[in-house]
Amino acid sequence: MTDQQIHENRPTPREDIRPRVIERVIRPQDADPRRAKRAERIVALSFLLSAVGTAGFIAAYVAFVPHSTGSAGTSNRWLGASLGVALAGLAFGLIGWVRWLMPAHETVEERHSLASPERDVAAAADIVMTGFRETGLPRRSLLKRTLGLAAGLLALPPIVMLRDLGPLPRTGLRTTPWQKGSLLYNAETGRPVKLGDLEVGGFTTVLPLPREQLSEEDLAKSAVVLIRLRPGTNKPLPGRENWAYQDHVAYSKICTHVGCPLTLYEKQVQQLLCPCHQSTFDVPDGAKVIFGPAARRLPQLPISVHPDTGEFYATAGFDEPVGPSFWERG
Amino acid sequence: MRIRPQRLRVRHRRLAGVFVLLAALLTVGTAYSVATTRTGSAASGDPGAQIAQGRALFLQGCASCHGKAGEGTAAAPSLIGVGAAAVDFQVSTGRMPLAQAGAQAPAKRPRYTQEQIDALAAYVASLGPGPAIPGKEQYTPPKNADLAFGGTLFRTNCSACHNFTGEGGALAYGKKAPPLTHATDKQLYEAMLTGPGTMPVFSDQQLTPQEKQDIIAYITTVRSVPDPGGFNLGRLGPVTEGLVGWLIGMGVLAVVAMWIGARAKRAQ
Repeated sequence: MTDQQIHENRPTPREDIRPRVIERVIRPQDADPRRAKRAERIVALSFLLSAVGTAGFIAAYVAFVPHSTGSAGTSNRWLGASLGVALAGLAFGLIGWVRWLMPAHETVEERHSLASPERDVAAAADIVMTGFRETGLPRRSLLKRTLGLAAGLLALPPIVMLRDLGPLPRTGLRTTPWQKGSLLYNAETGRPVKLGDLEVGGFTTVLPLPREQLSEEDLAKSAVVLIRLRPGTNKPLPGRENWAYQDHVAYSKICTHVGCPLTLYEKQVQQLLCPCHQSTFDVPDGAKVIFGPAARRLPQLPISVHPDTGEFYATAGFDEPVGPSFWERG
Repeated sequence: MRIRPQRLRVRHRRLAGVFVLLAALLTVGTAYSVATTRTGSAASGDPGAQIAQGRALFLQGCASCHGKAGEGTAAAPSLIGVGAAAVDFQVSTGRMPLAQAGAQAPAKRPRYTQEQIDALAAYVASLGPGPAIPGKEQYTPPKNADLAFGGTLFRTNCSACHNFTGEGGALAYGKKAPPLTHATDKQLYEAMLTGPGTMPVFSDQQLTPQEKQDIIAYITTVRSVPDPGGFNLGRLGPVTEGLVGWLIGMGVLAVVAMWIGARAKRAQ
C-alpha cells in the first residue's frame, strides 16, 4: 500500500475542530538582527557554562576522593553540582536555540487512519483460517482429545505448587507460648520483671521466655506490654477483676487490626496507639478501641506476683487468639 | 593498786566511745556533703538557704499555676513527689515556665540560670520524695558503651514516638514527641527517669543506669552521623524524599516542559 492510498483512505478532518495553523510568526529575533545576535550569544554562553561544568566534574572527581562519610558528602555535593551545571547549561542552550533562532513556522503532520485497509484484514483472516483447516482438527478427534488432556493437566501444577505458600497454621494462630506460671521476661534485657520495677506511668515489653529461647514464630506472637496505670484508674471488665495486679495490666502488644507492634504509649491519657494506622486503645477500660480501624479489644493476659520472689507471672495463657483477625477465627 | 588498771580501762572505754561518736559524725557529715554536692547545687553548703531561695523563685515564677505549695491547680499538675530531676529537665529545656497554655509545653530558651534551677529543684524535692538530679557519672555514657544494645533498647522503647533516629514525631491530641537532636546527656537521662508530659517513665529498675547510658550513646552517635547525600530532609526516610522528588522535581520538570511548548513571542 502506497502513501498515496493511505492519504486517500484518510477521512476528511472536520474544519471546526482543527486548531488554527499559524504559518509564520515574526519574533523579535526575526525582526531585529541585533536581538538574534544577542540570543546566539546567550545560547553560546550557556554551552560554555555546560563545558565548564563538565570540566568541573572531572576536577571534582580528582580533587575530592571519598575516604570517609564526611569526605564522601563533599565529593557527592561537588560532583552533583558540577554535573547539574553541565546538563542544565546544555538543556538551556538547546531550548533557547530552538525558541529564539530556529525557524518559527508551525507545520501540520497528518496522521494516517489507525485501522488496516479491508483488503489486509481479509488476507490476515484467510491465513488464519487456512492454517486451522490444514491442522485437520475438526476431523482428528483423537488428537483433539489428547491435546485437551495435556493442556488441561498443565493447569494443575500451579495449583499444586500453592502448597509452597507454607505449612498450614493448624492451631498456631490460636495459641501462644504464654501459659499458667510463665514469668514476664523483659524483651531486651531478659530479666524477669518484678513488682516495683515499673514506676506509675511506666510500660515495658515482656516475653514468656528470654528472647533467644523463643522461635521466630513464637516471638512474633507472644509480645506483651506490661503497663503500670495511675492508682485506681483501672476498670476491669466483668470476670476479669483479678487479672490485674496492683494497677499493673498486661495486654497483647500486637494490634488487632493488621498486627503492628503497639509501642506508642501515652502516659497522660493512658492510651496505646498503633503507629501504623492510628488505632487507639484505652488501656484502663479493658484496652477498648476508641479510634482507628481496629475492630477488637487487645487480648488481656491475666497476671499476678509471686509472694516470695516478687516476680510477675501469668496466671493463665491468653483466652483468645492474639493479633489480627483471620478467616475462621469466629 | 589493783583498782588503778581497771579505772584506766574504764577511762579507755569512755574515750573510745567519744572517738567512735566523732568518727561516725565525721563519716555521716562527709557522706552528706558528698551527697549534696552530687545533686549539683551551686549554692552548696547550706541546703536550707538553697531551699529558701528556691521557694522564693517558686512563689514568683511557678506558684500562679502550680499552687503556693506546689499542690497543683486546675491549670497545672501537683509537683509533690515529682523530684528534682523533673524540675531540672522542665526548666533547663525551657519548657517551664510556660509562656502560654497549649497542648504541650514547647522547648525554648531557658529562663533561669543553672544555680536558680538547682534552687528550684531543691525546693520541689523538699515537698516530697522523687528522683534526684542524676550525677555526671550517672548519665555520661562510657567510651565503650554498647551502641548496638542501646539501639535495640531505643527501637523497642522510644522509636515509636521519637522516630528511629530521634527526629521526633506526632502524637494524638495535638501533642508531639520532640526531636532529640539538641538534648544533652543529662536531659535525656532525666527524661527517661521522670517521663515528662505524656512520655512513659523508665525507672532505673526497668532500664538500669548502664542501659540508659547505652541509649544515650546511641542517640548522640546516630545524630552526629554526617549526611553524605547533602540535604537529609529531617532524616524522616523515603516518604519525605519521595514527596520532595514528586513535588519539587516533577514541578520543575513541568515548568520546563511548559516553557519548551509555549508559543513564541511575536515582534511588535
